[in-house]
Amino acid sequence: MSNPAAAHALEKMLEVLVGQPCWLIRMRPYHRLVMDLGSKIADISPVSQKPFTRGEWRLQTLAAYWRFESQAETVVGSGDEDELISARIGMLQGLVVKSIQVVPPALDLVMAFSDQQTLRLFGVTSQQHPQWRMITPTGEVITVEPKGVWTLKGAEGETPLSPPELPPA
Amino acid sequence: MRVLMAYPRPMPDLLSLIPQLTAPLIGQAPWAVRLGWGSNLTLEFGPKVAARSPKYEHGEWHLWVHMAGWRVEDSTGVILGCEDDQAVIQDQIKILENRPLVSFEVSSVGWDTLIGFEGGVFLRLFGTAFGEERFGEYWLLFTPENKVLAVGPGSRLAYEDSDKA
Repeated sequence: MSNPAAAHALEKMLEVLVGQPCWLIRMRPYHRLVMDLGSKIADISPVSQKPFTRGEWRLQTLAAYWRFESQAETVVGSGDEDELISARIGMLQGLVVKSIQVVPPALDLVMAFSDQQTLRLFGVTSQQHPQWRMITPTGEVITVEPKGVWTLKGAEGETPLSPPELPPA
Repeated sequence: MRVLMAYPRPMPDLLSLIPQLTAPLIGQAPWAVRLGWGSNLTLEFGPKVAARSPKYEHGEWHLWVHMAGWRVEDSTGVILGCEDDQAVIQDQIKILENRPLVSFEVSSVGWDTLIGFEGGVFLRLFGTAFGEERFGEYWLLFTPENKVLAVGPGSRLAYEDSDKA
């Protein structure tokens, strides 16, 4: 599949996110982001086997830089200090996804939210490290690899995702 | 209590001047492209001048990609990214050497910068730091007139004598 076609196919797959709320967003080590979208669902950690709650959809940034924009103002990014990131990433919480774009050639994700807020990712590797991934309501994992390639894999046999575990809903 | 504020909108006048400032670079090819500290990149254009650093020769035009995220790409995909292994970057960044520039575009959002080279190869720069306490420009362009265009962080944009940079 050519790169623009791969971007288009992924964008179509993620269109179901439009209208879904972002109900939790957190910063993980190395300024990675985890964002939960859609309804809250119960899941079992593949690592500890303990129950936890996640969004129907969960976005994780990996080897991708990111930033938030508000009405074309840049607000905070992965290069900022921890304190600033923690203070500002909550701005997306409670907002609803308005549109999804997957931009070739790197398959950068651009998510526009209500209130004119935007999350923009920027892949920064050409080698083995995935840029970002999305866990689907059925536990499948969409992974965007370098070189403009993405995969969809079932939850079974997938590398543990080390999810930030929350108490059961 | 510390007040956390988003930066105000950047100066539109200087942004509109960037195409004029970078126009002399179009058609020129960098004769040296180097990986510096971390993922810093430097590109040298034009005649060699007295070095700012005794270690390296510099061009009249000296582009220093400092704190911006960057990657090299073409229409088929990403060739190289700033988080790749340093040995890989050292080896493959040479793809930009001796390749004439065909475009130099800077966006008003995040100062995203797209530098086009002959053969459909691009160097794409992405700003990621916006806090007032953050230091370190995304990139700097030193000119033959001993000026420097300093871009970022946040909305900061300056064109000044290079001895102030």
